[in-house]
Amino acid sequence: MIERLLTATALFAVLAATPTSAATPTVGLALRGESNGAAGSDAARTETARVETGSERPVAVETEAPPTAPPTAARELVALRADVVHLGDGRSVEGATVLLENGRVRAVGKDLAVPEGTPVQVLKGHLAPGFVLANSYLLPGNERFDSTRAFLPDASIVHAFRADTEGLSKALRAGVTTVLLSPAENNVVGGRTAVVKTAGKRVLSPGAHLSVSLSTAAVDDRRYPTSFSGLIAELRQQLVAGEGAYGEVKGGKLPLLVYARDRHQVVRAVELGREFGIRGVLVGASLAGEQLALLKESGWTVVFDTPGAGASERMLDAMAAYAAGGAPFAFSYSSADDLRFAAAQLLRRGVSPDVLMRALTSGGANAAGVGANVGRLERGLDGDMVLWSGHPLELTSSPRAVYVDGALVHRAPQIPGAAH
Amino acid sequence: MKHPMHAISRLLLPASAALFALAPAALAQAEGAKKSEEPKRSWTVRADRIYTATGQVIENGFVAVVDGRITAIGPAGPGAEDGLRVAAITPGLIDLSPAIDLGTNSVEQSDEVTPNVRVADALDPFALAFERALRSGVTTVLCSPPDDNVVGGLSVVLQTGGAATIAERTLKADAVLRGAFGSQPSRRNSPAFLRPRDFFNRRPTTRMGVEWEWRKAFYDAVVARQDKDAAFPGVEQLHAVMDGKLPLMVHANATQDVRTAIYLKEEFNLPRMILDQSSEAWKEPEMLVRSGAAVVLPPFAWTGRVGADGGFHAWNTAATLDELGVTFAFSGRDGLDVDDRLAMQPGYAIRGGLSFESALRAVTVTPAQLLGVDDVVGTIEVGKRADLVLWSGKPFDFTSSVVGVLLNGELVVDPR
Repeated sequence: MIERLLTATALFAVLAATPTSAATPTVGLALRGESNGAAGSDAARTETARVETGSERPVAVETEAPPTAPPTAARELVALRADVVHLGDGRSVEGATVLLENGRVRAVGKDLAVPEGTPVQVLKGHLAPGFVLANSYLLPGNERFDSTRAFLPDASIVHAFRADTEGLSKALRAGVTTVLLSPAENNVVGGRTAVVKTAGKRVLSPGAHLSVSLSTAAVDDRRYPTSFSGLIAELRQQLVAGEGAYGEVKGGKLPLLVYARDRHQVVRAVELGREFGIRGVLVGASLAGEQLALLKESGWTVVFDTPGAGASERMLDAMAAYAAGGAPFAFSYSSADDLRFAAAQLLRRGVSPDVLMRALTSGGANAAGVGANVGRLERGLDGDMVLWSGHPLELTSSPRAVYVDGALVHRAPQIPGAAH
Repeated sequence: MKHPMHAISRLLLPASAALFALAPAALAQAEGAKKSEEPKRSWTVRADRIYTATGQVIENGFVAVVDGRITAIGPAGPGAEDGLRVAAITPGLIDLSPAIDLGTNSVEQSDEVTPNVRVADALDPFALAFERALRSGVTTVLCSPPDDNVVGGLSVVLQTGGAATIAERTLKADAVLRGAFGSQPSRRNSPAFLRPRDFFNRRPTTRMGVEWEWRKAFYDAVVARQDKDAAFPGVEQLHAVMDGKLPLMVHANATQDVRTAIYLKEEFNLPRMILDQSSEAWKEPEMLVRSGAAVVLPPFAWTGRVGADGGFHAWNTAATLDELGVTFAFSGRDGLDVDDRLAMQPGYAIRGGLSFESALRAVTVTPAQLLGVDDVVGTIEVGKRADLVLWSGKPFDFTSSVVGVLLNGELVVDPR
């Protein structure tokens, strides 16, 4: 076994499965086209080598393929072993191996027997599922809010999805591999949400929820409805009639994404859900911890907006109580910095890191309706992973590499003189 | 009626309590939840005087409460429980015009006439105003849409505490149809001429316009009786008002608005009308008595002028209405005494010449009757809900205060 550091500051150590692979200078950083006896084409190797030696442009790797095309990952088997592997369900395993096949997870385990000839990369740090955020404010405001009508049940935000934006690649660099795109809360019914990957243009779901706003922004006194009374009356009427998207909602095929910020708005959502037997996620219910019993009984999932530095003690206490209360929750994405800062604020209040890791991975995936695709490192799920320099929730840790569908799509730049 | 949710939550509690053990904050939450699930609703309270609001006063008596209901009252009987002895007990106070709402988010202004819109869908059960009302002895309130519309919609009777959802606090849904006369419904509107195009470029812009909207609404309702194709949203509610099944409560503060309201009542033969904030109703005594309309008085103001329309409110207004035989109640609304809005009004009226008994009725049994909930609340009688106010001295005296409150048998303000 030969261990070799590829660059002076590299975190990636490659433990070749066989001595012959050690002779391949590019092994270990790109999954594409690599394996023991049969390395990829020269072109692929050159590309890999360029990234490998510390490119100044750590951009997401994009394909020209349409969103539905298969992932860019290699077709053969690849195994990654890390100091700690987070499974996405809150658990983590030390020294575990993740075996990928065609960009998907084939197996995860501590003493996993990998098929002969499988290249095994040994990575220093924590390997975790990419973060999945069940709401985001990534799209520009004028793409999310259609001011012409308050009720837009036939709209779909997926038409506003543009893959090559700075916002998405910034999210990717922060360890976020899947985000939900939502219509704004100014529309009472804003249309269907979409779930997309932050790299590779893939749309996981073009209609995860119907977006409904019960927040103050939806009761604009310059158009109908101007009041919660009118808003609820109209929604009830539409749900009773059950046409189009409302019918899918009523039939349980299309969950709701409901903006409900104040506690009375949460009560309104829960009561509406109870009346029509519908559920979904509540976005922005920052005081949900004060309504824990109601929410646990109701079956809704809360998607918290990340509290910034100015968040009130009361809000943080309520969020911590909710997180510790055992009810499902997830987070919205507003900026790369806020996300882990939010987690740190809750960690300081005694919330377990496992609970927070779950919320950021499988919790977000379940809330976004894509729990069968992403959010956990488990057989059959997409190989969306982030290699962190330490525990992902430790603020001094940073994402060193991001994989989407098994392909390395981002590698953190090496800053000269910095100790990583 | 108890919501089925209570039973479900109770079953879930032991399991969830185990999960809460993770964090101190969550533990406190669990204890809080347990407390609100299972409050003690059985008490025996003694007092020097019990004012039942049925015309009876019991000296040195007791009220026994079991599971939230009054089970026994009397002069002799069991001793007070754990020091629960106070100077006086009255029924829980009822406020017909507390103005508890979410401002313009509680009135659907996309139309001036919205009789089918429910304010119950636009209230905040966590609003501090409920807690404040409860602590000052108000156990029942009628919440109405704000008066920005001509016909604002359906009001709801709520208890001021208990479960944190409007549905579970509701004593009576769709209790009255609320609307307004005067300057309030037209204040934001303006003609389109020479102004920027705006949602509020519309009728009514004057009192005349407000009156026109009212008459048009009922005229259209009359037409819709004959012609089914002429039906419109809210026509059922207008018909219910015309048939006497639904009381019509209108804001009518100044004399001209009181007159307009009574003209409407008589023109369309509306059996049950409640004139809200009508401090100047006494200026039309003959019309008032003839119409049979009830009056809700505004809280007293030191200037003698109340509300946006500046109606005159004299100290002896209530006494005058009482002499006329007009049914009247008090309201707390935007009263000066922010922590005792309704509870202070009877005292002012008594200073203006009203009898104690009439003053007591005007904050208890009379509003209960006007809402049609007097079979449940409004008096201290066996079988009624145990909504009780415990006083430090004679109720409504300036030196007395509310020291305890029972809401549906739960001791929400403890005098001890």
